[in-house]
Amino acid sequence: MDMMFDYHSLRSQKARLGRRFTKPVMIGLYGIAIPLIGLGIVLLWQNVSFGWAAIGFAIIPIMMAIWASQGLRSLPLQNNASLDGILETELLSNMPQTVSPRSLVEAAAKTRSGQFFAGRFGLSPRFLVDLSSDMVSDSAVVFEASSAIQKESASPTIDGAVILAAIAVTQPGITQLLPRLQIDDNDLIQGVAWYARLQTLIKETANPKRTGGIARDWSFGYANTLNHFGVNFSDQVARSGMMHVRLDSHANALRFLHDTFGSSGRQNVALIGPVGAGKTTVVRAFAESLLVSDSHVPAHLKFRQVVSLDASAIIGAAQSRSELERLVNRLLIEAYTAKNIVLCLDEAQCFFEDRPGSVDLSSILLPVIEGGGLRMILTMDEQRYLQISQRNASLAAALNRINVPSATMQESLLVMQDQLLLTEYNRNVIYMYQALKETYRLSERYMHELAQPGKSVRLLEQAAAYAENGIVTAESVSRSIEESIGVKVSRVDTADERETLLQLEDRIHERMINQTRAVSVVSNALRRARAGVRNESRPIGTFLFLGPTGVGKTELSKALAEVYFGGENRLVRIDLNEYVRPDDVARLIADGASDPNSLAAQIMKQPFSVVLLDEIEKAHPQVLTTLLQLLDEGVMRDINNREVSFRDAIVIATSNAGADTIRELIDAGYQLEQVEQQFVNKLIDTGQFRPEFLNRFDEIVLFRPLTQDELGQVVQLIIKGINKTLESQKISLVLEDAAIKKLAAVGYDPRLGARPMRRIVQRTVENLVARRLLEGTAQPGDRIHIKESDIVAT
Amino acid sequence: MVMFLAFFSWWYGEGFMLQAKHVIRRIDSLLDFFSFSLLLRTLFSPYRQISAGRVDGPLGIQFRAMIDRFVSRMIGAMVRIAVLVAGIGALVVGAVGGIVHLALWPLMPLAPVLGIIAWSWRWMPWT
Repeated sequence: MDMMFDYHSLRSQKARLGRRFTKPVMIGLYGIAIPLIGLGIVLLWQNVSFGWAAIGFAIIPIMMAIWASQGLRSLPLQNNASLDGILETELLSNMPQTVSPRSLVEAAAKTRSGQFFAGRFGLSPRFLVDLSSDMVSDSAVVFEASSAIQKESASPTIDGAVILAAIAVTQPGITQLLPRLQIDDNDLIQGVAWYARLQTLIKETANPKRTGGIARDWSFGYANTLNHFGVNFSDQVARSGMMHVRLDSHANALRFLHDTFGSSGRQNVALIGPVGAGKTTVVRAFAESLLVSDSHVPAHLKFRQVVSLDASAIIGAAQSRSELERLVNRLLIEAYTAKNIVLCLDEAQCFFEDRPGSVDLSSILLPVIEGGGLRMILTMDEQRYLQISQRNASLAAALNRINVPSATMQESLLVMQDQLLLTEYNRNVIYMYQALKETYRLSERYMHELAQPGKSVRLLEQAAAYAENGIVTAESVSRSIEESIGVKVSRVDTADERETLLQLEDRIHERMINQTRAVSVVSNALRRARAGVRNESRPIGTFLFLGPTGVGKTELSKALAEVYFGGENRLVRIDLNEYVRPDDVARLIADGASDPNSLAAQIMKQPFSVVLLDEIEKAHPQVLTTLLQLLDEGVMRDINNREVSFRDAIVIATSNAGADTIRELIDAGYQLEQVEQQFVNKLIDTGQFRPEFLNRFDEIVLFRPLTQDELGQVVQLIIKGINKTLESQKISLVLEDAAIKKLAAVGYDPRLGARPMRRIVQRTVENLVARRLLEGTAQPGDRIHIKESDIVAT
Repeated sequence: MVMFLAFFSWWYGEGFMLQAKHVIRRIDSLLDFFSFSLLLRTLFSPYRQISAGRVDGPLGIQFRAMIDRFVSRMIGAMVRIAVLVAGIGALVVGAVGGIVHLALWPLMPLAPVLGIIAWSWRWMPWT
């Protein structure tokens, strides 16, 4: 194809002419024609023959208006011709005589497609104009890129969106800035395809629908009770417009429905898939396909109505079980005798098990399903289907099952693009393309109760509340999910947070004594995570802390939870000495409904946490095997086989294994860094840990025993804590150095580290303060000085 | 001049085809609205399936059901024939309107000339 633009081609001239027929011009044309026709009629009524001329001339503006609206607004494409043959009419009408990338941007920005594209990606026309070349010779590259993008996006024309996308990929100044806007070349093509699909959708909607006419249901019976206790999907679809199913998985299910009900086999279909995968949407799409008289469904299926039974309405209407059974029987008979009903049991488990809000009606429904006289569709999630099948094997045997899996990323984006039109209209917002991508990413990661595309659509709707100036950005989506799960998911964006991250070690050392290597290792992991430089498919960090009791392993975990996640309540602590039997795996992965304190349930509720797996060496090997996937891929499957993500958690396992060896090595004068590998080898050789388990950790950190001096610092930290408690009474404690040393000496036990210190301080200092307060020797506003002689060893 | 030619080319080419499509679509919509094919296929079917099911039981009840079915079919046939007649009327009007539309379309560009001729001839067919 000739990639040169011909300003003087007939199509270009027509397009420019068409642009002149603006709304006021059209009104003007009819404004001339109508009075002229009126005048002509009046004159003819008065037998004045000039009326013929008046009417004849009135036809001229009418013809012009018809030509403008039907012939010039959308010029047919000339695919075999030059470039201007495939340019969209609106763009063509705005094309300048001399074309440079800059003038192309200006022309594209005036078109609806260009405005749509620029708005969705946050590319302002001014920004694009400023960064585009003004050289006429550079336009050929843009046209070639346009042609490639048009083909790749399956856009029928080169419109404003295609041109802007081509500008973005060919103009170096813009290309360099795309990553900052979180856009890549593929996104630009998707944006062009989005506009093209919307145009197709609008055209399809504008086409008249043939749905059978006034006599469509006259040969079928009334279904008044059914309509009272159910939802007529066919009516809904006919009223609110047609559904559009493009997902491969949905198309398969739809084909299966047509095949099953079109043949003479068992007339039922069970759509099995996770909640949010779109099972009900498939049923609605099926209802739609039956309504369209020119669709390719078998004649005996055409115009059948799909009615979904409302379990809660049925259960609520019946006073007793016998009454309920009578009502259900009546509904089934009505559906059968009407002869045009396809009965849908949405969330079919409500009809096959006795639970609150559901009732087991197998005895009534099973014969109907097995008999095949009444067409039925059942939708259920996999887990419930398996449970019901286990209880009722004959039901499972009678059903024609098809899976409706979760949508892929590409499919979810398509669904979102279609769905958000309605949301945009209702909420008066505009969604940017980047918001859609972020929605998929975040919903996939943090929303576990729904499948795709349901969870993306839900998050997208939630994000509308966080729009700024009516625009829903990736930031709005992040804020929406942050509000719902109560944690930060966006990248580092405030100066305060940057400061915190850069001074993480100092902040942790405010409550931790020494263990500088351990603090440094975890601080680096956190900085990598918040800066976006880490493997997103693993936890933020996985650490194995080894060392004797009371050296700060748990304290470091708590400090991390407080400094990084905002509070010690962000620490999920699992004492693995309680998981010593193989059966204990079930407790670890129990869902929130059965055990809200299980590891899986706590992380599902609070994904941004420090997970402390205490005394890991005591866990049963099967428990450790369960934890392997968590450490490796950042996911664990709960008892319902749902994926629980640990990718926003810091996983810390602690162990006292080899504590004596550490102590011996330190006493022998070794630095921990020197003997780390040797120590780990020893743990493997002695069978305390399997190598594949140890290899899963990012870092194995040895904690060394605290010296007496360091215990003194621990005492100071404890005193700081006591002073904080006494603050309300305006009393403060001051310990002399000698007193601190004495406390450290009294509390020093190489086997227990700092653990006895709090008890010692309680017994001595706190008792002393309490006594002085009661004796009245200490008053509010006093500073209580504690000397060495005040410390009495007990 | 080029635009003048382009106008005539569109009016007698693509424009005319477009009008023909509009007319066909309108007739098609009428056919669908009045459910012609469905009405013809189900002319003697029971109306709204009243008493349409198979009835078992004594001869008297079966005879009663047969009478009910017969009445239902008769009512159905009458309603359907009435709608068919109304539909045929609408279809005829639509088709005639469409033909007039298509017949007038090629004459519209000639309207100013014809108007001037009628005026100069003082053509008043009703006087």
